[in-house]
Order: sequence, then structure tokens, then C-alpha cells
Amino acid sequence: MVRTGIYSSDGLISLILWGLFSLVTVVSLWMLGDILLLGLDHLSLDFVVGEPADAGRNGGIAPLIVSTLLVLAVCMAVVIPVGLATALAITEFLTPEGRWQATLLRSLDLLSAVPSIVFGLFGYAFFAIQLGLGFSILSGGWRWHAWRCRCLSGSPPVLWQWCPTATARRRMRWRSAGFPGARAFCCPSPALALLRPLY
Amino acid sequence: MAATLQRVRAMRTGDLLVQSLVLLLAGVAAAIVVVIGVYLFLESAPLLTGTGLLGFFSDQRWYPLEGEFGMAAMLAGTLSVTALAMLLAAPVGIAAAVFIRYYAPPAFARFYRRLLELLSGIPSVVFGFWGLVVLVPLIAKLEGPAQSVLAGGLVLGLMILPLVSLSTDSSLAQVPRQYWVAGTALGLGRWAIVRKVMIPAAASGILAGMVLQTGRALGETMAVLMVTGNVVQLPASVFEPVRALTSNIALEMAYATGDHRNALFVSGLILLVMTAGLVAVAAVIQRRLKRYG
Repeated sequence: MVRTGIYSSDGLISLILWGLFSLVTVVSLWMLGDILLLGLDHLSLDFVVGEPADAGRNGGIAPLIVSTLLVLAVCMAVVIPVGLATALAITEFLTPEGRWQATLLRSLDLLSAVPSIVFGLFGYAFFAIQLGLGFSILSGGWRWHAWRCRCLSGSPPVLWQWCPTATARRRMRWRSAGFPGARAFCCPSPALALLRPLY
Repeated sequence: MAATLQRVRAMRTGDLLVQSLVLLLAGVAAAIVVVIGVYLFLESAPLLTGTGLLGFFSDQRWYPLEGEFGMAAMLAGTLSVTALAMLLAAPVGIAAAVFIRYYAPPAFARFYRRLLELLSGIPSVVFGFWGLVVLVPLIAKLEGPAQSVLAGGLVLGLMILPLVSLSTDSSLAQVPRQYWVAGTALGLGRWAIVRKVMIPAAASGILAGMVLQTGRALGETMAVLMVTGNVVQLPASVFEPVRALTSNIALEMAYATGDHRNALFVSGLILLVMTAGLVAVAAVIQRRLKRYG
């Protein structure tokens, strides 16, 4: 005999799962809504294109947006070639039987797990002090270098985690059709991953 | 004939060039993590040879200006916030994945998955900010100093939740469909199949994902910094403020010199070793528990 309704454990579990679903949805929307409402209150064109005034208590955030984009640009300039090359190395030049692919993948796993603060620590000491790049870019100097370093290392894992799957998926077909096809296939999915260094 | 041969040869050199370039860049990528590890070690070496590693763990007094670099309290802060976050995120995350995959009507599942993807893309500093502005005042009404382990755990848990449930979801997605069909054919209920067949089959992936997300929580800086109060002390309850290792680096790096600076590198090294350990554990889990595929 088939038991249905809330008397069977299925019904109870289903009830619990629906409850959790509502809870998570409510909390998430609560947070997103708060951010939207609190933010939209102050959002204006002047704020986006204006200079900060009164030590940041008033005015806009234009310079911050520009510096964020600059950091992102430096990051991308390093990440795209290195990330793409690594993805290609994994999927096209190294074989699963060999030792090198496993080593590379292991190393990338490790890299993507490194806390961002450790990248910052390393970037500060290595780029800013050791290589003498110093606090050269105004007060944001060390962050810049830290980010640059993070870019160098923080973002590619995310990028190539997408790339191999994207290339591998169409691998056989693209290969027979010629190599450049994979490029088009590789690009859309990491687009989101590229935004990661923004934060 | 000669022209063809020349073309083939030209292609070969081109291929060779591309291949060596690609492998070189990949080598660079692989070396980064080693370079970081070695560099951190070298920077912290002077202090490590002086005190020994044990001294950092056994001592809880952090008075960097007087040369006391005990990290036990901050380690406890990091671990307690991470543990609370995982305690919240793990069950809810798995439940969310199970709901999406086996219980929700398609429209709800789509909505839910989109919502989780959206959440997983939100910068951690936004979570921290929301925690500070909304959550902390709420906790303040409940009990004492509101910037606390509890606030940190809640914010971090909310942050990790979508990651846990998306990784669980993709592990469940890899379980062959025949398992479900076979379960149904045996007359098992939905929950019985999920609990006894699907989750055990996907256990390696789920566990490994969980371990990796623990690493993510462990290394989180901004969100934790903003809501935990940053008092260096062993927390007696979840309502007490703590300082995490990560926050400590962010707070003090700007002005640290000499031994103090080296001590911060030691804490960076500790974080690196802990996350590396978690990655290793995840790899072992994935290899040992693989039941299918």
C-alpha cells in the first residue's frame, strides 16, 4: 500500500524542504532588497561621476570606479594569456596519462584555494617592496600591487576551471574542424569569472 | 611538391612555437603557488627559528609592540566563526540542492538555482556590509556586544550557502540517471531514493565540495572583519567578539615592521597551510569515495 500525504516520511521531508526553501528565499531577498533600497536612495548621476568631497563624507565615487577598472584591466592583461594558455595546456598538450597534467591540476586546485589575504600579503611584500614598485600610485599603492598579484594568481583558476570543460566538450569536433573554433567556445563562459577580481 | 613540403615544415615550427609558449605559461601558472609558499616561509623564517611554531599556537597573548606574538586566540576566532558558518551552511545547502534536484517543480527549481547563482556572485564585502548594517543591530537587541562570533558565522554562512548548494547540486547531477530509475522500479519512495541511493553515490563530490568551501570560509577577510568586532580574545560564547587571523593581517599590515611584520607572515603561512591541507583532504576524499563514473 502506498502511503501519501504528511503521514509518510516523504510528505514530512517535502514539508521541511519547502520550509527551508522559503526561509532561504526570504533571507536572500531580504538582503538583496536591503542593498537595493539602501543603495538606490543615494544613487544619482552626480554620485557616479562626481569627485569625493569632505574627506569622502560627501560627493561622488568616480575616481574609485576608475581605479577599480584600471586594476581590472591590468589584471585581465595578465590573466587572459596565462589562463588561456594553461587551459589549452591541460586540454590539448598534456595527456591524462602523463604526470604533468595531474601536477598542473593539483597546483591550480591549491592556487584557487589560497585565501585572498595571503595573495595580498605576498603582493605587498613581493611587488611593492621586493621589486621596488613601492607605494607609487598614491595612497592606493599597495592595494594596487596586491590586486595585481592577486590577478596574476587569483583569477586564472576560475578562468581555466571553465575553459577545460568548455574546450573539452566540443574538443573532438573542433579538433577535426581546426583549432580556432575552440576559441569562440572558450570565451563566453569565463566572462563571469573575469569579474571576480573586482572583489 | 616542394611547396607542400615547405608548408608542412612551416606549420610544424609554428606548432612547436605555440606548444612551447603554452607550456611555458602553464608552468608559470603552476609555479605561482609554490613561489607564494616559499616567499611566505622565507619572510616568516626569522621568527620561526626564534620561537618555534608551537609558541604561536600555545600562547594567546598578542601584543605585537611588546614582542608577544601568541596566535591561539585569533586561531580560535577563525575556527569558531568558520565552524559556525559551516554548521549553518552545510545542512541548509545540501537540503537546498536536494530540493532543487528532486522535489521542486521545474519553475521553482529554476528560480532557486538562479537565486543561488546570483548570491554566489555577490562580493563578500557586500555580505559584510549588509551584516554590519542590518544583522548586527538585530543581534544587539538580543544580547550584548553585537559584533560577535554569531554575526560572523551568520554572514559567512549566508555567503557560503550558495556555494555549498551549487557544488552539491553538480555532484548530484553526476549520479547516473539509472540509479533513480532503478530505485523507482524497486518501489522506493522519493526520500528513500535520495537518502539511500543518490546522496551516498554523490557523497565524494558533496564532501569534497564542502571541504573546499570550508577553506573559502577560513580565508574570508572582509566580511569577517566587518562584523566580528576584532577583539583579540578566546570567545567564551557566540555572543563575544573575536578577531580572525585574516582580519588581523588586514588590520595590522599597513603599519607593521620588524618582528611584528614577520609575525603577520607567520599567520599568512598558517592560513596557507590550513587551506592547502583542506585541498589535500578534498582530493583524498574524492579518490577514496568515488563510487561511480
